[in-house]
Formats: sequence, C-alpha cells, structure tokens
Amino acid sequence: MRSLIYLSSRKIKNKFLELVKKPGKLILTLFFIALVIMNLSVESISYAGSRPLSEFYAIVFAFYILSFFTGINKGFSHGGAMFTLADVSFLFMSPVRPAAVLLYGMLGRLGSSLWMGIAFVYQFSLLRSYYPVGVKEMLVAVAGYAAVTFLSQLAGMLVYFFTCGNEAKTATGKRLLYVLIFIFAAFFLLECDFTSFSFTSASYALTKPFMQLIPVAGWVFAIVRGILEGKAAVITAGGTACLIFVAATFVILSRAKHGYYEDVLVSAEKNSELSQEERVAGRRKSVKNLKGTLTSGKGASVFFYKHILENRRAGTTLLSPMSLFYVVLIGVYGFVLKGDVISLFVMSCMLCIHTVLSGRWLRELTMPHIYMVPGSPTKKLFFILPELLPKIISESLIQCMLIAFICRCGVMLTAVLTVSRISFCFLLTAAALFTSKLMREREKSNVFVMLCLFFGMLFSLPSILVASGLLFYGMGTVAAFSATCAVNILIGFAVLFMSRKLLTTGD
Amino acid sequence: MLRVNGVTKKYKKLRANNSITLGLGEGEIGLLLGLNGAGKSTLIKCICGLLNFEGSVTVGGFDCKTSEAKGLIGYVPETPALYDYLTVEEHLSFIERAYGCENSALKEKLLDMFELSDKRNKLGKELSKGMQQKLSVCCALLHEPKLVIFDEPMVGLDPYAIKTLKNLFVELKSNGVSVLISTHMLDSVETCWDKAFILSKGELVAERTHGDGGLEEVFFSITGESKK
Repeated sequence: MRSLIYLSSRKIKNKFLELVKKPGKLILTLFFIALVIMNLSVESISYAGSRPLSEFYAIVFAFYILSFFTGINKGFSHGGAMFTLADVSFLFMSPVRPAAVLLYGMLGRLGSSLWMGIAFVYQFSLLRSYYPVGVKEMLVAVAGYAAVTFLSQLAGMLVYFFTCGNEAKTATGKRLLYVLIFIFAAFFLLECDFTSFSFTSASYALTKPFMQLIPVAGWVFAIVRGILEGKAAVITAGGTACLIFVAATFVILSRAKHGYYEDVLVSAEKNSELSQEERVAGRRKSVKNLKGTLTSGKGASVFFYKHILENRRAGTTLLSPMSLFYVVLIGVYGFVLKGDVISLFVMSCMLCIHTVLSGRWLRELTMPHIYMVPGSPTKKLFFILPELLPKIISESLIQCMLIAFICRCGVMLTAVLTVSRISFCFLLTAAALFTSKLMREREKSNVFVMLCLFFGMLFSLPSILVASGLLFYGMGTVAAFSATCAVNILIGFAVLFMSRKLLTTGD
Repeated sequence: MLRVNGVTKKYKKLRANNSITLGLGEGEIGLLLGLNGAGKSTLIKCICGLLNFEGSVTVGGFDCKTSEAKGLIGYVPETPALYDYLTVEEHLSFIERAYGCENSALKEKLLDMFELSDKRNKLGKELSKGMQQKLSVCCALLHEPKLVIFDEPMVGLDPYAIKTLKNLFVELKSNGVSVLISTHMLDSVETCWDKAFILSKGELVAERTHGDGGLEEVFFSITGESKK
C-alpha cells in the first residue's frame, strides 16, 4: 500500500510541477479556473430564471442516464480505462496485493471523474438564466455527475469482466440492457401527457420516483434530489444502493477465482491501442468495405483521393454521430429554451470546431509523407483541405434548415445562413492551420483547441463588426449575414496565404 | 527455476499456446524464438501470471500468480510502458517500495550502466523510446530477481545499449540468475544462450541446447520446415 501511496502522490506532484515548467499549460489551467469562478460568480450579479425546477432536474438526470449507458456500452467492447499499460508493467508484476491494486485503480477513476464533472459548471450561467438555481444546486449536480461517471465506469468494467471474449454472454448482456432501456422508456412514455405535451410535462415524467430505479444514474439522482430537497430517506436509499454496488463490484473483481488481471490487461491494451490510433490515424474500427483502391491522383492531389478512400474504409458518413448530436442540441436549445436566430447561429458556428478538427487533414500534418512528397507546399495544402467540404456543407445545410424552421425564417435567409456558416467553418479551418503554423505539436491537445478557438474568434471579429454595423443601420438580417460571408472568405484566404509555406518542413 | 507444464492458452477458438512444456535451470539463458504470431508474447504473459491459462507455471517452486513468485521475476515488456508523470528516479523508488527492497548501490550502478544518471529527473514521457526501454530494464533488475524475462529487449536500443545488455545477460548468468529472452535478433544473442525454445503456431516445435549448432541454422531449419 505504501508503494501505491508513493506512486499517486508523486504523479500528482509532478503534474503540478509540469504546470510551472510549461507556461502554455499553466495559462490554460488558469483560464479554466477563471472560467469556473466567473461562471459561479454569476449567482451574485444575475437574476435567476423562473422556469420550473423539474426541468433542471430532468436535464441533470438525462446527463446521468447518458453517462451510465455510455459506461455500460464501453463494457461490451473494451471495459473502462481503470488501468494503464504502465500499471500492467509495474503493479501487476509486483508482489503488491491485487485487492490494493484494484482499490488504487478505482480511486484513480474517481479522481478523473471529478475533473469531468467540472465541465458541468461551465453551463451554470446558462442554466441560471432559465432556472432558479444557485451555486449549491450546481455543485451538488456536478458532484452527482462525477459519481455517476465513476460508478458507470465500474459498471462497464463489471460488464467486461462477465462478457469479455464470449460472444454468447455479450449478446445476452446486450439483450438485458435493451430490456432495461425498454422498460424505463415505456414507463416514461406512459407517464408523458401527450394531450398537452411540453418540456415541462416531459420533465415531470422523467423525474418520477420509478425512474430513480435506473441503476447507478437513478440512485445518484435520488441522492442529488434528496440533498437539494432535504429528504433524508431518499438520500439514504440512493446512498445505500450505490455503496452496495461499489462493495459488490470490489468483491466480485478481487475475489473472482481466476483474478481480474487478464480482463484488465486486455482492457488496458485495447485502451492504449485506441488512444494511440485515435491520436495518429483515427478510431480503430474493423474495416468491412475493402472495395476500391487508390487509382486517381498524382503528386499533391493523391492526398485528396487517399482521404476519400480512407473515409470510405473507416465508414465515415457525411454527418458524424457528433454532428447529429449537435443537431439535437440545437433543436433542444431552439425549441425548449426558445433561442433566437443569432444565438442559434452562433451556437452552430461554435460547434463546427469539432468537424474542422476531426478532419484527416490535421492528422496528415503529423505524418512525414506530406512533407516528403515532392511538389509545391501550397498545392499540397490545397489538396488536403477539400475532404472537409462535403461534411461542412451537409452539416451546415441541416443545422441552418433546422434553425430556419425553429425561427420561421424565409428561403432567402435560410440560404444566406447556410452559406454564412460554411464561411465561418472555412475561417475556423484557416484558424486551425494558422495555429498549426505556430504550434510544433499538432496533436489535438487542449491548448491547440483553445488557440484554434481564440484565432477563430479573432479572425471572425471583422465580419461580426461589419454585420453589426449593417444591422445597426437597418440593412436587414439577409444583408448582414451576406456581408459576413464576403468578409470571412476574404480573411480566410488571407490567412491561408500566410500559411502557404506550412508544408515545406515538418518543424 | 522456471517450470512450464502443459500451458494452453485459448482466445475464443484460437489456441495461442498449446500444451507447452519447458524448463529453465538456475543461471541458464533460454531463448524463446518463433515467427510473428507464434505465441511467444502470450507465453511470456502466462509465465508472468498476467493471463489465465490451463496447465501450470512455477517460478522457484511457487505458482507464478503468487506474491512469492512475483518477487522472483523481473519483466521487461515488448513496448516500454512507463508512468508519464514519474521521473526516472521515482520509477526506481517506486520499485523499491513495491518490492520492499532498498539498494542504492545497485540503483546507481544501473543508472550509470544505462546512461540514465543525468536523466534521473526527467519524466517518463520526456524520455525517448530507447531511454524508456533502458529504464524499463533498470526497473526489472532493481529488486534483484532470480528470473528475468525480456520480451524483444533490443528493439529501439542504440549499439552501445545493445552491447551493455549482452554483457548484462552474461553477468546475470554468472550470478545464477535465469534469463528468458524472446527476440528476433538472433546474432545479438548468438554467443550467450544455453537453451532455445522454438515456437510455431502456438506449439513448442523444438528445444535445442547450445551444442546443437548455430542459432540461425537451428532456427531456419526448424521454422522453415514448419512454414512448409
């Protein structure tokens, strides 16, 4: 145990020391902390919204449910990331008791779950503008989210333990999961009042006591609601269920006849492979479609055709699951919280950072071939970007049509909104290129993403100023959005021109 | 020191290891040879007690999954897996605590031997792949194990480090430590081996001793046959 305490304390100490050594990381951390403080300080300077608190509970509970089912789903493929390969090499090989090693792994997950919960705090100011919630409510919800994330990872590990390497058991496990989802979905739909359906009525149905029987997510939600409403009996019931679950998981994993090391080793190896391949060449998937080959392209243009082939092999669709999630998010924000055209459009533009940064072009910059292939660097740059275009166009079309539907915009405004969003995506791509020019490490680190967003916002300023000016002088929304397109494209090309030598060397 | 009895490891329908039996005495150097996918790394993981398998493995008379056996084994994995946020020195201190051994002289000797003395305050993630491999070797040797298992130890090492490692194999042997090496670099271990275990498609197809001929000759004659 002494060695595990030493290991944990040194890791934490060195993480702090790294902040001192690397100013970029320090600035980013301070920025995140400042954001948390700013978000929480909103309580003293803003009025709370007056929508029913049941809606707030429903949003929180929905996130808990999503986190739980994501954790379980991971269990069917590769367990959780409770241990790293370093743990396998050092801890599993050492004479340290397996139960102590398991406890170390579980506590490590608890720590990282708490960090993930902080992302919730960033939504505080938005939530407060709609609901009568304060810092206390927010922090309790965040702690609950961290607990759900932790317990869901344990549940995922347990599922992996029981099903790994056995297709029949995996199929049975999945069937059980679908039955569970069906029962709760059916109850929710039966409880919904469809005669006067609204978000408020749906939120009442979602937060009924029966729904709190959903494993882990429901139990933790019961504790959270119990704390906020001062109901000791509910807290005790939820808390007991969670404690029994943790204790049972610990006993099952550590006392199992054949030990848990093999399951965890395979899980750690798969996680390591996944994270490495995600970094280098995208998420690992079994490739079913091997049809077609690289027949077109010569010199620089071969990169474009290579990306098309790779996307086909990887099963990449025009709309990624994340893009679809964003469509739902915009829909929820528009329908439920009644956002206007401009706020919905800004939200849609901000979300396109994911599409831009998940393109193959950015990964291409980390590989040597792009620099080794003879030819003009500008030409190579020109051919690695178009792969993004179909995704951006289809995503913009769907999101802008949804915004137009919610806000009842005309055809003209819808068309202009779509083109304007495409121009903002182009600008963000240029910003990402510009950031790549500045940063040696082109991996998708937090610093890189933050810098991309910063430059994206900086480059967008002129078009926003022009559009605001046009709106101020009463030129209308269509003219304002059209102006943003023109200015964005102009600035985008200027930035691309500045980055034209990017592919000369890999420095 | 090491006894492997009828070890069978199945992954679904695939038999990665099929009824493998082998042994290694004190101070002997054994080579685990075979083509890619022959089952060498799986067998090593079984010996290290990391996998569940049929059959038995004992190290120094103890079942390989017991704490007693783990205290006797040093393991250098194929890919060095270090803690990103632990320095070189802290990795070694951690090993001292985990195995309950403190040997400052040996620690310094290993750091010097693998040219890590001036990098003792570097984090694991700041080291090059070769340096990570060297640290991995130091960690495996610090608790003075009686059986050291190397899985592809030469990959990523510079010629000096390979030479150091070869000398180390001989030194370990002379100290009565058993060494099991899985490698494809036959010429690097040509002079120092005692036994060679040749695996093919999960089975032990041959066991040879040093007197049976040159390593390359033995290896190619057997794996060539099994390939046919």
